[in-house]
Amino acid sequence: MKQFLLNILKFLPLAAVFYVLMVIFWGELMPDRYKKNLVYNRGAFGHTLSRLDDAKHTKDVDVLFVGASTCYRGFDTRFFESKGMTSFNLGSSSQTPINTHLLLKRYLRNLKPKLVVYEVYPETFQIDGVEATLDLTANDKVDFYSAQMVFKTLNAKTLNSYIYASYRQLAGKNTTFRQPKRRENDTYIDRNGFVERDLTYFKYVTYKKDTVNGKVVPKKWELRSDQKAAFEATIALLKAEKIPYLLVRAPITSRLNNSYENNAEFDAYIQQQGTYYNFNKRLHLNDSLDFYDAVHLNRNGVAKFNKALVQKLKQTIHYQHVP
Amino acid sequence: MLFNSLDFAWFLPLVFFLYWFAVKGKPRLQNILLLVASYYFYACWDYRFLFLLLFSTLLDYFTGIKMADAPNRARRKFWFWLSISINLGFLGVFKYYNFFADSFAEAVSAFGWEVSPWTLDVILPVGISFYTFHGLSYVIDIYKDRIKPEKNFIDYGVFVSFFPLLVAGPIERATHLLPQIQRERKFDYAQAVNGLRQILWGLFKKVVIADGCAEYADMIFNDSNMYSGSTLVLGAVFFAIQIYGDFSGYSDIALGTARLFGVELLRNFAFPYFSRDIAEFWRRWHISLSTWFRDYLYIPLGGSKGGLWMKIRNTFIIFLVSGFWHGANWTFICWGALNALYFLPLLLSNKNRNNLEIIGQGKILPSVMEFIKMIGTFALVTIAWIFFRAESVGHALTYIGDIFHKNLFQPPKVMSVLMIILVTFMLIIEWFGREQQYALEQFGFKWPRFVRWTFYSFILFLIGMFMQTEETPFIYFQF
Repeated sequence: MKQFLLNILKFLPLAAVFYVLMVIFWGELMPDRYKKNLVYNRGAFGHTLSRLDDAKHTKDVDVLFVGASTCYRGFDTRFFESKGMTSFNLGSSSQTPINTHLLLKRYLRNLKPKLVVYEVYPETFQIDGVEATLDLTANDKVDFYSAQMVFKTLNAKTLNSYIYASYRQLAGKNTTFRQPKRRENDTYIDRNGFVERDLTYFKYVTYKKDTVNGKVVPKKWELRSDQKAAFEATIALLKAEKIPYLLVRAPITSRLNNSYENNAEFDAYIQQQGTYYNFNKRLHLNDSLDFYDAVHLNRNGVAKFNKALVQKLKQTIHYQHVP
Repeated sequence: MLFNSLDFAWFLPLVFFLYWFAVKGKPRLQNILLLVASYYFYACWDYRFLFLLLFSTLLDYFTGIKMADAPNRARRKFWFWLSISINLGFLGVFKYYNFFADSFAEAVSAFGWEVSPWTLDVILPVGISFYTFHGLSYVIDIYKDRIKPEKNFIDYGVFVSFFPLLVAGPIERATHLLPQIQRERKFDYAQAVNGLRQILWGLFKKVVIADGCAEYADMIFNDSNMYSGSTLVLGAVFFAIQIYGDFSGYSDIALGTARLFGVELLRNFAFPYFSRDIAEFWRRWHISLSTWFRDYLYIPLGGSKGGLWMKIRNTFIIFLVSGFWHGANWTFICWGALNALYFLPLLLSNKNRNNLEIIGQGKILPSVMEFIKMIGTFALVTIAWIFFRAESVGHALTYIGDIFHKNLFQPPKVMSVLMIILVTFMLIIEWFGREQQYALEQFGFKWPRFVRWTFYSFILFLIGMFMQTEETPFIYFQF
């Protein structure tokens, strides 16, 4: 047994070093189609690189928005600025509570917001957070927090991408470059984190009901326990830092929203964590005219939603924390 | 808990260390630990079915003792049939009831009667076919006076539910596994290292080869009407490789894991795609099930003795039952029937035991004739796999028809160079390891240790770089 354990202890470091070297070699030399589990998209979709670069140079904002794409496409920081509030949108693609928690740990002290608006899209509670981890690993600095994020969403993709990102950072290969403001139909709003989509409309669809053996299976939000724990940890962090927060659900198309039958259950859970506004109930938007897809507001929808949010902010105690 | 999950990566070392450190040298405590670990392992799927497993174990344990203590033959027979009928009853209810109900409704609708059968809305308890067959072999062996009943419930419980084999085999025999559980197990360095190597190779076959091929096989089978004949051929080949990688990979992990606990399980695969005829293929594919059916069904029915019709009848029975064992669907029955048709000419011409030795034994390459036979056998097996994979018999027939009617000689539309490279890598290693119990057993043994370890590290890298990141269950879990 002693020999067995000793040999394992000898083999593991060799395997680890070999693995790291191979990942670097693969990342540098192989074409993308052979990099199945090495996803390193720096400066790609979602403008995460520009946003995080701006976050590093932004201080003392009145309002900080966090959440997934529904956040960075849903809160127009220019509108809040026009109402006298400085703000920053720290949303990122498919950002789950696990990612939000670690992003806040990294940026909260720098941004020093007077209010945090947390956009809680239920979908982000039912996914593993790998997509956002890959996005953030490639576009942010590699440090203890990113290691934590990788560990919490551990799989081959996040691990390989973390190894490769660490190598690039150590080798000084991550030279800062500014992403072009325009990417396909999106425009990044400098220093604010918001991404605006050119005005298009959504051709709505009626959602097919899931069936098993001919019986309709109710569609439900299935919240993961690790995401709930991370969400609660974020709330605890904000409380510990004495930063007021508001939990907000941005509107999605009513057909998609109504296709889930446990929205009330989700709302009840979020409500336990703090002041919560579900704008799917409060705003009655048009599925076609106010959205560009089933989940994201178009320019018209964003304007209506942000106006309603500001009114709500004024009515709540939270508004006293912002000018 | 899947073998290819992070949970198992914690579970296995934990049980290993407790087994060899906390309760070392105490077989009784080791068995209690294995039983608790196995039940926990099973409960991770669905704790409700743990009661079914426990009931099945208790049933066979007590009927085994009752049969041995029975004062007369009639009482012995009573206990025997009680166990058989309850075991098969459970299997029938959970696995086959809906199939029979639906088939009955379809059959009567052909005569114009509309019947809405009452179907069960239950999920299939994972591993039920495997642990039921464990129990059945035990009860039959006692009834036939081949073994004495096990009096220690813990030992018997471990025999039925030892976690490496619990959900997808190999289907063990009491004569093989029980003595290993009863005796004291000593840590054997060579056996443990062998176990780790086998786990590594099994994991590679599952998460890289099988799951990778599944992506393409699913794509092609799910929309088979969209593809050319050549793409459909590729889809069938991908599925053939997928099912081999999946099930033999699972078996390698199971056998390797058992070795870490000082237990040798029955071999389940012996490089079946390197077979020169169907009879050889069936001696090498899912060996524990084939031999189970041989010993408990084929031989009691008369085997290959008797007249021509008896041989034909027995061959069809064993293959049809084998197909039906895989699942309650006509596709599996057709798969079994097709294999029976392949096998029958060999049996009737007494050529079914022609290829008993390993192909190209002692040589690097096979002869041209051996190679042609090997490819031919693979082609036949792959055609049968189309039935196994298809949604329905109609789908399978259309799929096969489309192979010949839709541009068979056009380059395939779905082509993954990466997957072909990885499959080729696997086949080369398997070819060179075909004379061993599993491919990596002696591979690279002449190399310096550093080089060999680097090779293992390379396999680990391939796993990390090309595995499917979503945990995919093993195909045989559904059986």
